[in-house]
Amino acid sequence: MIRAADAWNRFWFQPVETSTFVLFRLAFGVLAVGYTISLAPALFAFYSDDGILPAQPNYSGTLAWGLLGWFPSDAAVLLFYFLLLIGAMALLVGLQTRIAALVFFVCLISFGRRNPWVLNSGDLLVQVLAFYMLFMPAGLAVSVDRWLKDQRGLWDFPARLIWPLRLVQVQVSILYVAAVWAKVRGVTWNDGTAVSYAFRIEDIARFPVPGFVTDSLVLANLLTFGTLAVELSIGILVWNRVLRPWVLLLGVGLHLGIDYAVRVGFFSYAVLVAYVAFVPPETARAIILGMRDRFTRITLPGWAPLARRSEE
Amino acid sequence: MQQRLESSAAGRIAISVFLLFTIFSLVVWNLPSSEIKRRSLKVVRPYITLTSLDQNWGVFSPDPRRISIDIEARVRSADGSERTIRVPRGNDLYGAYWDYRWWKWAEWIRQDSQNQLWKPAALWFARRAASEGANPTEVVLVRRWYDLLPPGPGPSRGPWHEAPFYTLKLTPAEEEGAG
Repeated sequence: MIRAADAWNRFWFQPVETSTFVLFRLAFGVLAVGYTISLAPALFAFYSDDGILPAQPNYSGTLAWGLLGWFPSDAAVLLFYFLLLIGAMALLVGLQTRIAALVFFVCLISFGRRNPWVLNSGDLLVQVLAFYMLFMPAGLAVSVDRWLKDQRGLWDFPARLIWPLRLVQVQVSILYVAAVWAKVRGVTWNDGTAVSYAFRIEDIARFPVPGFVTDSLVLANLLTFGTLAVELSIGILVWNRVLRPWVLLLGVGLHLGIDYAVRVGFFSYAVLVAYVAFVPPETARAIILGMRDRFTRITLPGWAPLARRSEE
Repeated sequence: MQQRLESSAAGRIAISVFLLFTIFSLVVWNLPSSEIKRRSLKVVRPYITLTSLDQNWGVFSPDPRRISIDIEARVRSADGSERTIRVPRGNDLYGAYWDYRWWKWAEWIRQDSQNQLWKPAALWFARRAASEGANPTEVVLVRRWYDLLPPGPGPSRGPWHEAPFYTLKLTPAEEEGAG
Protein backbone atom coordinates (compact mmCIF):
# COMPACT_ATOMS: atom_id res chain seq x y z
CA MET A 1 0.00 0.00 0.00
CA ILE A 2 2.80 2.36 0.97
CA ARG A 3 4.72 1.41 -2.18
CA ALA A 4 1.66 2.17 -4.29
CA ALA A 5 1.29 5.53 -2.59
CA ASP A 6 4.97 6.26 -3.21
CA ALA A 7 4.63 5.33 -6.86
CA TRP A 8 1.53 7.54 -7.15
CA ASN A 9 3.39 10.45 -5.58
CA ARG A 10 6.42 9.93 -7.78
CA PHE A 11 4.29 9.82 -10.91
CA TRP A 12 2.03 12.81 -10.22
CA PHE A 13 3.78 14.97 -7.65
CA GLN A 14 7.40 14.96 -8.71
CA PRO A 15 8.78 18.52 -8.89
CA VAL A 16 10.21 19.43 -12.30
CA GLU A 17 11.53 22.68 -13.67
CA THR A 18 8.80 24.53 -15.53
CA SER A 19 10.51 24.60 -18.93
CA THR A 20 8.17 21.94 -20.34
CA PHE A 21 5.16 23.89 -19.08
CA VAL A 22 6.52 27.01 -20.77
CA LEU A 23 7.22 25.18 -24.04
CA PHE A 24 3.71 23.74 -23.91
CA ARG A 25 2.30 27.24 -23.37
CA LEU A 26 4.25 28.64 -26.31
CA ALA A 27 3.16 25.81 -28.61
CA PHE A 28 -0.44 25.95 -27.43
CA GLY A 29 -0.39 29.75 -27.70
CA VAL A 30 0.61 29.58 -31.38
CA LEU A 31 -2.08 26.96 -31.95
CA ALA A 32 -4.67 29.04 -30.09
CA VAL A 33 -3.94 32.18 -32.10
CA GLY A 34 -4.06 30.27 -35.40
CA TYR A 35 -7.23 28.49 -34.36
CA THR A 36 -8.92 31.75 -33.41
CA ILE A 37 -7.98 33.40 -36.70
CA SER A 38 -9.42 30.39 -38.56
CA LEU A 39 -12.83 31.05 -37.01
CA ALA A 40 -13.06 34.54 -38.53
CA PRO A 41 -14.15 33.77 -42.13
CA ALA A 42 -17.34 31.99 -41.01
CA LEU A 43 -17.87 33.65 -37.64
CA PHE A 44 -21.38 34.94 -38.28
CA ALA A 45 -22.34 32.11 -40.66
CA PHE A 46 -21.71 29.60 -37.87
CA TYR A 47 -22.61 31.47 -34.71
CA SER A 48 -25.10 34.27 -35.38
CA ASP A 49 -28.90 34.10 -35.39
CA ASP A 50 -28.79 34.61 -39.17
CA GLY A 51 -26.36 31.75 -39.69
CA ILE A 52 -26.74 28.07 -40.42
CA LEU A 53 -27.93 27.40 -36.86
CA PRO A 54 -30.21 30.17 -35.56
CA ALA A 55 -29.95 29.22 -31.89
CA GLN A 56 -27.77 27.21 -29.56
CA PRO A 57 -29.00 23.59 -29.21
CA ASN A 58 -31.13 22.88 -26.18
CA TYR A 59 -28.84 21.51 -23.46
CA SER A 60 -31.43 21.60 -20.69
CA GLY A 61 -31.08 18.71 -18.27
CA THR A 62 -27.33 18.58 -18.83
CA LEU A 63 -24.45 20.57 -17.39
CA ALA A 64 -23.37 21.83 -20.80
CA TRP A 65 -22.86 25.57 -20.79
CA GLY A 66 -22.05 28.26 -23.32
CA LEU A 67 -22.07 32.02 -23.07
CA LEU A 68 -23.52 32.43 -26.56
CA GLY A 69 -26.64 30.57 -25.43
CA TRP A 70 -27.13 33.13 -22.69
CA PHE A 71 -26.21 36.15 -24.83
CA PRO A 72 -27.48 35.37 -28.31
CA SER A 73 -26.61 38.41 -30.43
CA ASP A 74 -24.16 39.41 -33.12
CA ALA A 75 -22.58 41.85 -30.67
CA ALA A 76 -21.94 38.99 -28.23
CA VAL A 77 -20.44 36.85 -31.02
CA LEU A 78 -18.07 39.67 -31.85
CA LEU A 79 -17.27 40.39 -28.18
CA PHE A 80 -16.50 36.76 -27.35
CA TYR A 81 -14.47 36.41 -30.52
CA PHE A 82 -12.26 39.32 -29.52
CA LEU A 83 -11.98 37.94 -25.99
CA LEU A 84 -10.95 34.60 -27.49
CA LEU A 85 -8.31 36.31 -29.60
CA ILE A 86 -7.04 38.39 -26.68
CA GLY A 87 -6.95 35.27 -24.50
CA ALA A 88 -4.97 33.37 -27.14
CA MET A 89 -2.45 36.16 -27.64
CA ALA A 90 -2.08 36.75 -23.91
CA LEU A 91 -1.44 33.03 -23.43
CA LEU A 92 1.24 33.12 -26.10
CA VAL A 93 3.15 35.97 -24.51
CA GLY A 94 2.35 34.92 -20.94
CA LEU A 95 0.41 38.01 -19.91
CA GLN A 96 -1.85 37.26 -16.92
CA THR A 97 -1.38 33.68 -18.00
CA ARG A 98 -3.90 32.03 -15.67
CA ILE A 99 -6.64 34.53 -16.52
CA ALA A 100 -5.78 34.31 -20.22
CA ALA A 101 -6.11 30.51 -20.10
CA LEU A 102 -9.50 30.83 -18.38
CA VAL A 103 -10.79 33.47 -20.84
CA PHE A 104 -9.63 31.40 -23.81
CA PHE A 105 -11.21 28.23 -22.40
CA VAL A 106 -14.57 29.83 -21.58
CA CYS A 107 -14.87 31.55 -24.98
CA LEU A 108 -13.66 28.49 -26.89
CA ILE A 109 -16.20 26.20 -25.22
CA SER A 110 -18.90 28.81 -25.79
CA PHE A 111 -18.30 28.78 -29.53
CA GLY A 112 -18.13 24.99 -29.53
CA ARG A 113 -21.42 24.62 -27.69
CA ARG A 114 -23.11 27.24 -29.86
CA ASN A 115 -22.64 25.15 -33.00
CA PRO A 116 -21.36 21.60 -32.42
CA TRP A 117 -22.10 20.58 -36.03
CA VAL A 118 -18.95 22.26 -37.29
CA LEU A 119 -16.53 20.58 -34.89
CA ASN A 120 -14.18 17.75 -35.78
CA SER A 121 -11.89 15.75 -33.50
CA GLY A 122 -9.21 18.42 -33.80
CA ASP A 123 -11.57 21.09 -32.46
CA LEU A 124 -12.41 18.81 -29.55
CA LEU A 125 -8.72 18.22 -28.85
CA VAL A 126 -8.06 21.97 -28.76
CA GLN A 127 -10.90 22.25 -26.22
CA VAL A 128 -9.48 19.41 -24.13
CA LEU A 129 -5.98 20.92 -24.16
CA ALA A 130 -7.44 24.31 -23.21
CA PHE A 131 -8.95 22.62 -20.14
CA TYR A 132 -5.59 21.13 -19.11
CA MET A 133 -3.93 24.50 -19.77
CA LEU A 134 -5.97 25.91 -16.86
CA PHE A 135 -3.85 23.94 -14.40
CA MET A 136 -0.42 24.65 -15.84
CA PRO A 137 2.01 26.96 -14.10
CA ALA A 138 3.12 28.04 -17.55
CA GLY A 139 3.61 31.75 -17.01
CA LEU A 140 6.43 31.44 -14.49
CA ALA A 141 9.16 32.02 -17.10
CA VAL A 142 9.60 33.48 -20.58
CA SER A 143 6.46 35.51 -20.05
CA VAL A 144 5.34 39.08 -19.63
CA ASP A 145 4.18 38.07 -16.16
CA ARG A 146 7.71 37.07 -15.17
CA TRP A 147 9.28 40.06 -16.91
CA LEU A 148 7.06 42.45 -14.96
CA LYS A 149 7.90 40.72 -11.69
CA ASP A 150 11.58 39.94 -12.13
CA GLN A 151 13.38 40.77 -15.37
CA ARG A 152 16.53 38.93 -14.37
CA GLY A 153 14.58 35.71 -13.80
CA LEU A 154 12.88 35.78 -17.20
CA TRP A 155 14.81 32.73 -18.41
CA ASP A 156 14.86 30.82 -15.11
CA PHE A 157 12.47 27.93 -14.72
CA PRO A 158 11.38 27.37 -11.10
CA ALA A 159 10.31 23.87 -10.11
CA ARG A 160 6.64 22.89 -9.89
CA LEU A 161 4.75 19.61 -9.58
CA ILE A 162 4.41 17.65 -12.80
CA TRP A 163 0.77 16.54 -12.53
CA PRO A 164 -0.80 18.88 -15.16
CA LEU A 165 1.68 17.57 -17.73
CA ARG A 166 0.94 14.01 -16.68
CA LEU A 167 -2.75 14.64 -17.38
CA VAL A 168 -1.90 15.58 -20.96
CA GLN A 169 0.36 12.53 -21.27
CA VAL A 170 -2.40 10.21 -20.09
CA GLN A 171 -4.80 11.94 -22.48
CA VAL A 172 -2.45 11.26 -25.41
CA SER A 173 -2.22 7.60 -24.47
CA ILE A 174 -6.00 7.27 -24.14
CA LEU A 175 -6.48 9.07 -27.47
CA TYR A 176 -4.43 6.53 -29.40
CA VAL A 177 -5.70 3.42 -27.66
CA ALA A 178 -9.29 4.61 -28.20
CA ALA A 179 -8.54 5.43 -31.84
CA VAL A 180 -7.13 1.96 -32.51
CA TRP A 181 -9.98 0.28 -30.64
CA ALA A 182 -12.51 2.19 -32.76
CA LYS A 183 -10.70 1.33 -36.00
CA VAL A 184 -10.21 -2.40 -35.52
CA ARG A 185 -13.98 -2.86 -35.38
CA GLY A 186 -14.17 -1.69 -38.99
CA VAL A 187 -13.88 -3.68 -42.21
CA THR A 188 -11.40 -1.57 -44.15
CA TRP A 189 -8.91 -1.28 -41.29
CA ASN A 190 -8.88 -5.07 -41.21
CA ASP A 191 -8.62 -5.68 -44.94
CA GLY A 192 -5.94 -3.00 -45.26
CA THR A 193 -7.73 -0.58 -47.58
CA ALA A 194 -8.83 2.15 -45.12
CA VAL A 195 -6.07 4.66 -45.92
CA SER A 196 -6.70 4.36 -49.66
CA TYR A 197 -10.35 5.34 -49.09
CA ALA A 198 -9.45 8.12 -46.65
CA PHE A 199 -7.04 9.68 -49.16
CA ARG A 200 -9.63 9.59 -51.96
CA ILE A 201 -12.53 11.35 -50.20
CA GLU A 202 -12.64 14.37 -52.47
CA ASP A 203 -14.53 16.75 -50.16
CA ILE A 204 -11.89 16.49 -47.43
CA ALA A 205 -8.85 15.99 -49.67
CA ARG A 206 -6.08 18.55 -49.40
CA PHE A 207 -2.86 18.21 -51.37
CA PRO A 208 -2.81 15.47 -54.03
CA VAL A 209 -1.70 11.96 -53.18
CA PRO A 210 -0.24 10.14 -56.21
CA GLY A 211 -2.55 7.58 -57.79
CA PHE A 212 0.02 4.82 -57.43
CA VAL A 213 -0.23 5.20 -53.65
CA THR A 214 -4.04 5.05 -53.42
CA ASP A 215 -4.52 2.49 -56.22
CA SER A 216 -1.90 0.00 -55.09
CA LEU A 217 -3.32 -2.63 -52.78
CA VAL A 218 0.10 -3.38 -51.33
CA LEU A 219 0.81 0.27 -50.51
CA ALA A 220 -2.73 0.71 -49.16
CA ASN A 221 -2.16 -2.31 -46.89
CA LEU A 222 1.19 -0.99 -45.70
CA LEU A 223 -0.21 2.46 -44.93
CA THR A 224 -3.33 1.09 -43.24
CA PHE A 225 -1.59 -1.47 -41.04
CA GLY A 226 1.28 0.97 -40.49
CA THR A 227 -1.17 3.59 -39.18
CA LEU A 228 -2.64 1.08 -36.73
CA ALA A 229 0.84 -0.02 -35.63
CA VAL A 230 2.04 3.56 -35.08
CA GLU A 231 -1.10 4.56 -33.18
CA LEU A 232 -0.99 1.50 -30.94
CA SER A 233 2.75 1.98 -30.37
CA ILE A 234 2.25 5.56 -29.25
CA GLY A 235 -0.66 4.63 -26.99
CA ILE A 236 1.39 2.03 -25.14
CA LEU A 237 5.13 2.44 -25.77
CA VAL A 238 5.13 6.16 -25.07
CA TRP A 239 5.44 5.14 -21.41
CA ASN A 240 8.78 3.49 -22.12
CA ARG A 241 11.53 6.04 -21.61
CA VAL A 242 13.82 4.57 -24.31
CA LEU A 243 11.18 4.07 -26.98
CA ARG A 244 9.27 7.31 -26.28
CA PRO A 245 11.19 9.61 -28.64
CA TRP A 246 11.01 7.08 -31.46
CA VAL A 247 7.28 6.40 -31.24
CA LEU A 248 6.58 10.12 -30.94
CA LEU A 249 8.76 10.73 -34.00
CA LEU A 250 6.67 8.19 -35.88
CA GLY A 251 3.59 10.05 -34.64
CA VAL A 252 4.96 13.35 -35.96
CA GLY A 253 5.42 11.72 -39.38
CA LEU A 254 1.94 10.22 -39.27
CA HIS A 255 0.24 13.49 -38.39
CA LEU A 256 2.19 15.62 -40.85
CA GLY A 257 1.21 13.08 -43.52
CA ILE A 258 -2.44 13.34 -42.52
CA ASP A 259 -2.22 17.14 -42.50
CA TYR A 260 -0.75 17.07 -46.01
CA ALA A 261 -3.37 14.79 -47.51
CA VAL A 262 -6.58 15.45 -45.58
CA ARG A 263 -8.54 18.53 -44.49
CA VAL A 264 -8.46 17.70 -40.79
CA GLY A 265 -8.11 21.29 -39.68
CA PHE A 266 -6.13 21.61 -36.47
CA PHE A 267 -6.18 17.95 -35.48
CA SER A 268 -2.58 17.19 -36.43
CA TYR A 269 -1.18 20.34 -34.84
CA ALA A 270 -3.20 19.88 -31.67
CA VAL A 271 -1.78 16.36 -31.34
CA LEU A 272 1.75 17.66 -31.87
CA VAL A 273 1.17 20.29 -29.18
CA ALA A 274 0.03 17.51 -26.84
CA TYR A 275 3.31 15.67 -27.56
CA VAL A 276 5.17 18.62 -25.98
CA ALA A 277 4.02 17.30 -22.59
CA PHE A 278 6.51 14.44 -23.09
CA VAL A 279 9.53 16.68 -23.72
CA PRO A 280 11.99 16.30 -20.79
CA PRO A 281 12.52 19.58 -18.88
CA GLU A 282 16.21 19.81 -19.81
CA THR A 283 15.37 19.39 -23.51
CA ALA A 284 12.57 21.96 -23.23
CA ARG A 285 14.99 24.40 -21.59
CA ALA A 286 17.55 23.84 -24.36
CA ILE A 287 14.87 24.43 -27.03
CA ILE A 288 13.62 27.64 -25.40
CA LEU A 289 17.10 29.05 -24.77
CA GLY A 290 18.12 28.05 -28.30
CA MET A 291 15.14 30.00 -29.68
CA ARG A 292 16.12 32.96 -27.50
CA ASP A 293 19.69 32.91 -28.79
CA ARG A 294 18.56 32.67 -32.39
CA PHE A 295 16.09 35.52 -31.88
CA THR A 296 18.67 37.81 -30.33
CA ARG A 297 21.00 37.29 -33.32
CA ILE A 298 18.34 38.66 -35.71
CA THR A 299 19.44 41.89 -37.38
CA LEU A 300 16.76 44.21 -38.70
CA PRO A 301 17.77 46.53 -41.57
CA GLY A 302 19.29 49.70 -40.11
CA TRP A 303 19.26 48.25 -36.60
CA ALA A 304 21.98 46.77 -34.47
CA PRO A 305 21.53 43.06 -33.68
CA LEU A 306 18.91 42.62 -30.99
CA ALA A 307 21.47 40.97 -28.72
CA ARG A 308 23.78 44.01 -28.84
CA ARG A 309 20.87 46.37 -28.30
CA SER A 310 19.81 44.52 -25.21
CA GLU A 311 23.38 44.70 -23.89
CA GLU A 312 23.58 48.48 -24.44
CA MET B 1 -3.19 29.22 -4.75
CA GLN B 2 -2.43 26.03 -6.69
CA GLN B 3 1.05 25.94 -5.18
CA ARG B 4 -0.39 26.29 -1.67
CA LEU B 5 -2.80 23.44 -2.40
CA GLU B 6 0.01 21.27 -3.74
CA SER B 7 2.19 21.82 -0.69
CA SER B 8 -0.31 20.51 1.87
CA ALA B 9 -1.22 16.86 2.46
CA ALA B 10 -4.94 17.64 2.25
CA GLY B 11 -4.34 19.55 -0.96
CA ARG B 12 -2.52 16.63 -2.54
CA ILE B 13 -5.33 14.30 -1.55
CA ALA B 14 -7.81 16.68 -3.18
CA ILE B 15 -5.70 16.82 -6.35
CA SER B 16 -5.39 13.02 -6.33
CA VAL B 17 -9.17 12.66 -6.15
CA PHE B 18 -9.51 15.09 -9.05
CA LEU B 19 -6.92 13.16 -11.10
CA LEU B 20 -8.43 9.76 -10.33
CA PHE B 21 -11.92 10.89 -11.24
CA THR B 22 -10.74 12.66 -14.39
CA ILE B 23 -8.87 9.61 -15.65
CA PHE B 24 -11.72 7.29 -14.72
CA SER B 25 -14.06 9.61 -16.65
CA LEU B 26 -11.80 9.70 -19.71
CA VAL B 27 -11.48 5.92 -19.75
CA VAL B 28 -15.24 5.40 -19.40
CA TRP B 29 -16.01 8.02 -22.07
CA ASN B 30 -13.69 6.31 -24.53
CA LEU B 31 -14.93 2.76 -23.89
CA PRO B 32 -16.85 1.05 -26.69
CA SER B 33 -20.62 0.87 -26.24
CA SER B 34 -21.23 -1.63 -23.44
CA GLU B 35 -23.21 -2.16 -20.29
CA ILE B 36 -20.31 -1.07 -18.11
CA LYS B 37 -20.03 2.17 -20.08
CA ARG B 38 -23.79 2.79 -19.95
CA ARG B 39 -23.83 2.42 -16.17
CA SER B 40 -20.66 4.38 -15.55
CA LEU B 41 -21.77 7.27 -17.77
CA LYS B 42 -24.46 8.10 -15.23
CA VAL B 43 -21.66 9.08 -12.84
CA VAL B 44 -19.24 10.46 -15.39
CA ARG B 45 -21.33 12.35 -17.92
CA PRO B 46 -22.13 15.42 -15.79
CA TYR B 47 -18.43 15.96 -15.07
CA ILE B 48 -17.36 15.40 -18.67
CA THR B 49 -20.06 17.76 -19.94
CA LEU B 50 -19.30 20.45 -17.40
CA THR B 51 -15.57 20.41 -18.12
CA SER B 52 -16.07 19.95 -21.88
CA LEU B 53 -13.81 16.92 -21.86
CA ASP B 54 -16.25 15.17 -24.21
CA GLN B 55 -14.07 13.78 -26.92
CA ASN B 56 -14.24 11.50 -29.90
CA TRP B 57 -11.14 9.90 -31.38
CA GLY B 58 -13.03 7.87 -33.95
CA VAL B 59 -11.39 9.63 -36.90
CA PHE B 60 -12.04 7.47 -39.99
CA SER B 61 -13.50 4.74 -37.82
CA PRO B 62 -14.85 2.18 -37.71
CA ASP B 63 -14.28 2.82 -41.44
CA PRO B 64 -13.54 5.91 -43.52
CA ARG B 65 -16.43 7.07 -45.65
CA ARG B 66 -16.62 5.19 -48.92
CA ILE B 67 -18.29 8.06 -50.72
CA SER B 68 -17.26 11.59 -51.61
CA ILE B 69 -19.99 14.08 -50.87
CA ASP B 70 -21.13 17.51 -51.94
CA ILE B 71 -24.10 19.67 -51.03
CA GLU B 72 -25.51 22.34 -53.24
CA ALA B 73 -28.43 24.74 -52.94
CA ARG B 74 -30.46 25.58 -56.02
CA VAL B 75 -32.01 28.95 -55.40
CA ARG B 76 -34.90 30.07 -57.58
CA SER B 77 -35.66 33.76 -57.82
CA ALA B 78 -38.87 35.66 -58.42
CA ASP B 79 -37.85 36.31 -62.04
CA GLY B 80 -37.60 32.55 -62.70
CA SER B 81 -33.83 32.42 -62.77
CA GLU B 82 -31.91 29.80 -60.79
CA ARG B 83 -28.49 29.88 -59.28
CA THR B 84 -26.47 27.17 -57.57
CA ILE B 85 -24.65 27.91 -54.34
CA ARG B 86 -22.11 25.48 -52.98
CA VAL B 87 -20.58 24.86 -49.59
CA PRO B 88 -17.73 27.38 -49.13
CA ARG B 89 -14.26 26.06 -49.87
CA GLY B 90 -10.89 27.68 -49.33
CA ASN B 91 -7.58 26.98 -51.01
CA ASP B 92 -5.55 23.90 -50.16
CA LEU B 93 -2.72 25.75 -48.41
CA TYR B 94 -4.41 27.78 -45.68
CA GLY B 95 -8.10 27.71 -46.66
CA ALA B 96 -8.11 24.10 -45.49
CA TYR B 97 -7.79 25.42 -41.92
CA TRP B 98 -11.18 27.14 -41.99
CA ASP B 99 -13.27 25.34 -44.62
CA TYR B 100 -13.04 21.93 -42.95
CA ARG B 101 -15.75 23.07 -40.55
CA TRP B 102 -18.09 23.64 -43.52
CA TRP B 103 -17.43 20.10 -44.74
CA LYS B 104 -18.05 18.71 -41.29
CA TRP B 105 -21.41 20.48 -41.39
CA ALA B 106 -22.02 19.08 -44.90
CA GLU B 107 -21.44 15.56 -43.52
CA TRP B 108 -24.15 16.15 -40.93
CA ILE B 109 -26.67 18.01 -43.03
CA ARG B 110 -26.87 15.32 -45.71
CA GLN B 111 -28.19 12.83 -43.14
CA ASP B 112 -31.95 12.36 -42.79
CA SER B 113 -31.52 12.15 -39.02
CA GLN B 114 -30.34 15.78 -38.99
CA ASN B 115 -33.39 17.29 -40.69
CA GLN B 116 -33.60 20.00 -38.02
CA LEU B 117 -30.61 21.59 -39.77
CA TRP B 118 -32.26 21.79 -43.18
CA LYS B 119 -34.51 24.84 -42.90
CA PRO B 120 -31.84 27.08 -41.31
CA ALA B 121 -29.44 25.90 -44.01
CA ALA B 122 -31.91 26.72 -46.78
CA LEU B 123 -32.52 30.15 -45.26
CA TRP B 124 -28.80 30.78 -45.05
CA PHE B 125 -28.34 29.86 -48.72
CA ALA B 126 -31.27 32.17 -49.56
CA ARG B 127 -29.54 35.02 -47.73
CA ARG B 128 -26.34 34.25 -49.62
CA ALA B 129 -28.22 34.42 -52.92
CA ALA B 130 -29.89 37.68 -51.86
CA SER B 131 -26.50 39.15 -51.00
CA GLU B 132 -25.50 38.40 -54.60
CA GLY B 133 -28.49 40.37 -55.93
CA ALA B 134 -31.06 37.58 -56.28
CA ASN B 135 -34.64 37.74 -55.04
CA PRO B 136 -35.01 34.16 -53.77
CA THR B 137 -38.42 32.48 -53.57
CA GLU B 138 -37.43 28.83 -53.30
CA VAL B 139 -34.38 26.88 -52.16
CA VAL B 140 -33.78 23.22 -52.99
CA LEU B 141 -31.02 21.42 -51.09
CA VAL B 142 -29.38 18.68 -53.12
CA ARG B 143 -27.08 15.98 -51.90
CA ARG B 144 -24.49 14.82 -54.40
CA TRP B 145 -22.10 11.92 -53.99
CA TYR B 146 -20.05 9.29 -55.73
CA ASP B 147 -18.90 5.91 -54.53
CA LEU B 148 -15.22 5.20 -53.93
CA LEU B 149 -14.36 1.82 -55.39
CA PRO B 150 -11.87 -0.55 -53.76
CA PRO B 151 -8.21 0.11 -54.54
CA GLY B 152 -6.57 -2.01 -57.19
CA PRO B 153 -6.99 -2.41 -60.92
CA GLY B 154 -10.00 -0.74 -62.52
CA PRO B 155 -11.73 2.58 -61.95
CA SER B 156 -11.24 4.21 -58.56
CA ARG B 157 -14.67 5.85 -58.33
CA GLY B 158 -18.21 5.69 -59.62
CA PRO B 159 -20.26 8.44 -61.29
CA TRP B 160 -21.78 11.40 -59.47
CA HIS B 161 -25.32 10.88 -58.14
CA GLU B 162 -27.64 13.56 -56.89
CA ALA B 163 -30.92 13.74 -55.00
CA PRO B 164 -32.84 16.77 -53.79
CA PHE B 165 -33.67 16.29 -50.12
CA TYR B 166 -35.32 19.48 -48.95
CA THR B 167 -37.33 22.27 -50.55
CA LEU B 168 -38.13 25.53 -48.86
CA LYS B 169 -40.66 27.87 -50.43
CA LEU B 170 -39.94 31.17 -48.80
CA THR B 171 -42.84 32.99 -47.15
CA PRO B 172 -43.07 36.75 -47.77
CA ALA B 173 -41.54 37.32 -44.32
CA GLU B 174 -38.67 34.95 -45.08
CA GLU B 175 -38.15 36.55 -48.48
CA GLU B 176 -37.87 39.90 -46.74
CA GLY B 177 -35.48 38.45 -44.19
CA ALA B 178 -33.36 36.95 -46.93
CA GLY B 179 -33.24 40.25 -48.75
